[in-house]
Amino acid sequence: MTLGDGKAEELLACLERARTAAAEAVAAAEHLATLEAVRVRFLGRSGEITQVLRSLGQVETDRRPEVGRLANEARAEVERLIAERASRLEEVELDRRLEGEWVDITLPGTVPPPGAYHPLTLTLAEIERIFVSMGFEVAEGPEVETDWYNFQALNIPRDHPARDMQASFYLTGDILLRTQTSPVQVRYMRANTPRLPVKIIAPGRVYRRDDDATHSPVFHQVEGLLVDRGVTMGDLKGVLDLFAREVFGPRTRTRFRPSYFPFTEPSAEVDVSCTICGGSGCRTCKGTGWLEILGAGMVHPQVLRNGGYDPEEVSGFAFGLGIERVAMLRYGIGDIRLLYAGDVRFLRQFAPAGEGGVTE
Amino acid sequence: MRVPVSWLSELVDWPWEVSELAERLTMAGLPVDAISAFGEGSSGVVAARVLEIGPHPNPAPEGHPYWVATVEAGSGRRAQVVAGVANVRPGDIVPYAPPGSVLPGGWRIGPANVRGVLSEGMLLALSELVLGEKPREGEGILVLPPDLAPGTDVAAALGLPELVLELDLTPNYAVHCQSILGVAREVAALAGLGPAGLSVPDPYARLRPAGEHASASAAVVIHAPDHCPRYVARIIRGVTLGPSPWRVQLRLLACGMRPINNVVDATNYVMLECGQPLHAFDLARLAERHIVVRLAAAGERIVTLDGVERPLEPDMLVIADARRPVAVAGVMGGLETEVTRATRDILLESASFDALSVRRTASRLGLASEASSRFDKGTDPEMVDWASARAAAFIADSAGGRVAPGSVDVGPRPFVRREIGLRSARVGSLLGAPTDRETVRSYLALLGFGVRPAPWVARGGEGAGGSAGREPDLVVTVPSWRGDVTEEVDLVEEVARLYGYDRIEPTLPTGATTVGRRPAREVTAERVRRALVARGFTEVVSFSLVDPEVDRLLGPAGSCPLALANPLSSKQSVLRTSILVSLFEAVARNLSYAERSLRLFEVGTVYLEKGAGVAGGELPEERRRLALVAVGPGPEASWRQRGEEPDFPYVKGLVELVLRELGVAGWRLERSTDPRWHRHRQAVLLLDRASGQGRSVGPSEEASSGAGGPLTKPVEVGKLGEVHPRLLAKLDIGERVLAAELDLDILADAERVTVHASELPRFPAVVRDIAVVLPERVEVARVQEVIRRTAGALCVGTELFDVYHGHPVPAGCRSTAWRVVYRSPDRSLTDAEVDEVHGRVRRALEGELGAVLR
Repeated sequence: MTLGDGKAEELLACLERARTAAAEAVAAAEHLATLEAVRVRFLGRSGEITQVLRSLGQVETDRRPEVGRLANEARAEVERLIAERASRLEEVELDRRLEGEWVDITLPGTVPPPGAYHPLTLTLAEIERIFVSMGFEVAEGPEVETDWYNFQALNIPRDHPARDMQASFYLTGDILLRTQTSPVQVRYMRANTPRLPVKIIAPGRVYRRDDDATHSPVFHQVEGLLVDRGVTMGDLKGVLDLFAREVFGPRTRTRFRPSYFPFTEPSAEVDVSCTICGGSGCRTCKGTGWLEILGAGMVHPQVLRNGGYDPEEVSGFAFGLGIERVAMLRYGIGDIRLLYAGDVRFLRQFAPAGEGGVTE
Repeated sequence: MRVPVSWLSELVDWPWEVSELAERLTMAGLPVDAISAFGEGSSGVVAARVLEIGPHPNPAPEGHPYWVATVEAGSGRRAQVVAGVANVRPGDIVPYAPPGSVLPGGWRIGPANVRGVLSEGMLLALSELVLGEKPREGEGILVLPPDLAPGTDVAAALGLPELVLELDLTPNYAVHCQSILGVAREVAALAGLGPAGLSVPDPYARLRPAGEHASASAAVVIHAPDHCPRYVARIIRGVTLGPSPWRVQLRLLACGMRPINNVVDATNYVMLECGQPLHAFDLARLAERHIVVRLAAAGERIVTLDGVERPLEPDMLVIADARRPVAVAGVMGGLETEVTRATRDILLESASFDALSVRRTASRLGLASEASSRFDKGTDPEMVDWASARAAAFIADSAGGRVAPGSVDVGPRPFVRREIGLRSARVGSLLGAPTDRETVRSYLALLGFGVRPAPWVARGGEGAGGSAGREPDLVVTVPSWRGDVTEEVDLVEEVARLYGYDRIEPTLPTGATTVGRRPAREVTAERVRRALVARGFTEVVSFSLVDPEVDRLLGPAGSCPLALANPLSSKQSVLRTSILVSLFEAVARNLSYAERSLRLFEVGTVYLEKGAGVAGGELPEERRRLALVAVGPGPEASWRQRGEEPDFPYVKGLVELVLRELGVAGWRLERSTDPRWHRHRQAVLLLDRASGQGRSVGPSEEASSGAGGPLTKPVEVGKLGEVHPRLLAKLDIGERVLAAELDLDILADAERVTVHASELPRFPAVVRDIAVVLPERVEVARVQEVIRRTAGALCVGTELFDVYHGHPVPAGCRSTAWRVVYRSPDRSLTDAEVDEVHGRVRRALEGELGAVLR
């Protein structure tokens, strides 16, 4: 190379110019595409700084390391400037895009809303959850039942005054629509004797010949039965207390009053402190502070025998609960007939999580 | 039952306010529904002396004469009053309601002009004074005690208002508490007094008998001792019928009964007091003065006191004289032998009747009375003679007769008090309360039970071991009025209710830990509900009692629904055989409320006769079903998207959703021809019962090929499609209704898909699309079958991704677009390989189906 001596200086001057020009060009680039052009111009295969690096072979041997170092530094600096500018421009560009994407968040959501479970389903699910968690098994029995299971096995012979309390629908002289879920007690015991404990709840439809604002000819009950060695009335109170607090809230109190059911002895009517007024007296509880919600008692020895268990060895408690009654209390439903009318204006109110929606 | 507090307090004392008494009775099993104030609401009524009374000066209107009375109402205040009856005489003290006074029920009294005579207020009958009601037939102006000074406030003088406990008795307590005495016994026990704390009147001291012995006037024979263990007749001679004293009338009214006359009122009063119903016969009208207690003879009839002629059946117990029935025993007396103004001598009946016999008779005659409602629960057999003596003395007092000495007392079945062995330890172990033998004894004694130690305890056998807790240690004698107590556990309840249920500590059962479970059919129902609710469906619960006309619309062809023998109405007279009919009714109702978009479902039971049928004593089959209906645009409708109008693919998709949710394997749809559904838009869902392991979710592909097991007839799970418009028109539904009804019990038992994770593909797939134009009625299943068969093993998936009608596809044809996925498990496929296979598919579609490929 004839110009050998001046080559280093020349290249350094080139480099300096290129670096300055690159810094200006980067700063001037307003779009990522422009910036890419800048990169190609200086750092591309035939870019200005690349050219300097390629020409290193022409530099005097003794100056070659110095020029090489400076050229690499210049390339790194331009790369850095481009990267910084790129990230800035990306940010600006993203910002510009997002700015154009304003949305009306008050537009209704477009995922189809769910339908609704029936309040009786919701209530029964809650009741079952509580008892299943206490180790009760859910059992079932037929709605069309024999007189024996519905009455006689439960200590209610023909012409017994207790039959007055339960006017029945008959299909034949001996087959009727069950008036209570209690026949499941005997059916289950007979199918499972001598297994212990017998620990079931039995939900289902029952039928009575009544029809007004508080009685429906078709309604739902849950029967409960626990038979084991040494079951006491205290156990009945304990289990129903727990249940009442789970369903109606932790401050709920219960009250057990003597009552009469032919298939339990002693028998009790169970009241809970009024869910509306908490016990101080209001219209719902007719000023008494108490709401009657279920009947219960210790299983009558004859019923145990009818179920194939020996009352000398085991004892048990049973209870019966009206699901409609609990549902009406939980949801403030005034007329039992609404439950069976299939009116979507009523039923839609039980759609999951109605809260948070636009209120009109 | 109504218990006037003043009456109760004559029999027993208690240390509480009335409200607390009510609370304690409630907590002892005698729920007090209300404490009401009887005779409340009158003001300004005063006592007045009648000075003179004479006929109204103006001619009386037909059948209704008036009188004009002058009364003095204290402090020399005089008034002229027009009266409708003239049962009072000058000097009588009567209740006078001056202008401005008020009677119960807000009845305000003012001056009135009655046929030209000014009436300054009213003279009152008892009904007007205490109930604010018009006088009963034959009721006169109330005559007050002569020592009541004119001007005295009458309500206060009569002890009004009177507090009345309204008891809502359960049938077992009604046995012994359907009387003032019965309630008094409970109060005595609650107050810790026991039977000794009762003041029961002694009727025998007041009898003062005279004349011939009763047996000289009447004879009694019992032909049906099982129905009538005892009959006591007393004779009262020389009575004069008239109104009862006001105190008696007032009490009857307070208890909800109507005063009749001094004889009948006495029997009712004593019945209310002690629970033993009584009946008074006009002795002279009893043929041969005979009482025969017997079963009715075939064809006999009786006109009862209410004037109704009733046919009697041969197993009904009657009281007869020598010729004919004169009363339905324990239910109601006969009209011909009732006491009237002409009656002089009375035969007073007090008897025990079998509860069941009275109950059956009363219910068959449709005739319930105060008497039958007591007899049918069992009366106190030891009260028969007491009540007879009490009523006889009462009648003699108020109707002026003389009681004949003695009675005719026939008792073929003497009553013996029941004895029950009681293990006192059993009480505590059943209640979970610390109650020792002495506690048990004292509570029972308070309730009138006789309690003594069992012989082995009395002998000092205690501590001998072995027998403790197993052998009764107490012998309890049940009082005659507690016919409801028949066994040991009844005694446990008696102790429990006196001990107080509220004192039993709540505990939790200590038995073995168990796993709570729910039956498969319930879990199935829950999963179905969850899937459908998530898709916008709303759950309905409807009556299972339906109109047979409606049930017939969709029920199983050729079978009759189960019918009730005693329905409330024809609209609810059969058990449904289909859930859909209930939903259709809900659809019709909601459409009438202008709800046009409906997605409803119900999980419920249908009832189907089986085997010998209910007539043959066999219970029907109860099957759990799911029914769903869709009407109008779907729930996905929003401001961005129109809701989907339901059609067959939509309802098919829902059925698939349910099957997928349940993981049911081996099902398929088959076109069906039920005339109640749209001709072309219906299918049945079939489930192959033949088992084949590890099937995939979705339609069974080897439908009935039997590859997986023995060939069995597929079972029909249900039906889906569009309902026939003519059927809907019968229910006034004009919209399209898409519906399905599936048997959930079959699905709950159906084989489940089991999941086996397979390895991920190692080589890429090649995807080719193909559009096929074919006549519309060539089912896509056929197209898919051809593609799959000809594509062979390399084809791992076919998907229909578009269906197109319209230009340029010729009319009557449609284009279906398919995506076919090819992949090899062991290599990357080349284009040439795929082209070759795909070409075969295209040729097969053209060749086999005549398809035009686009």
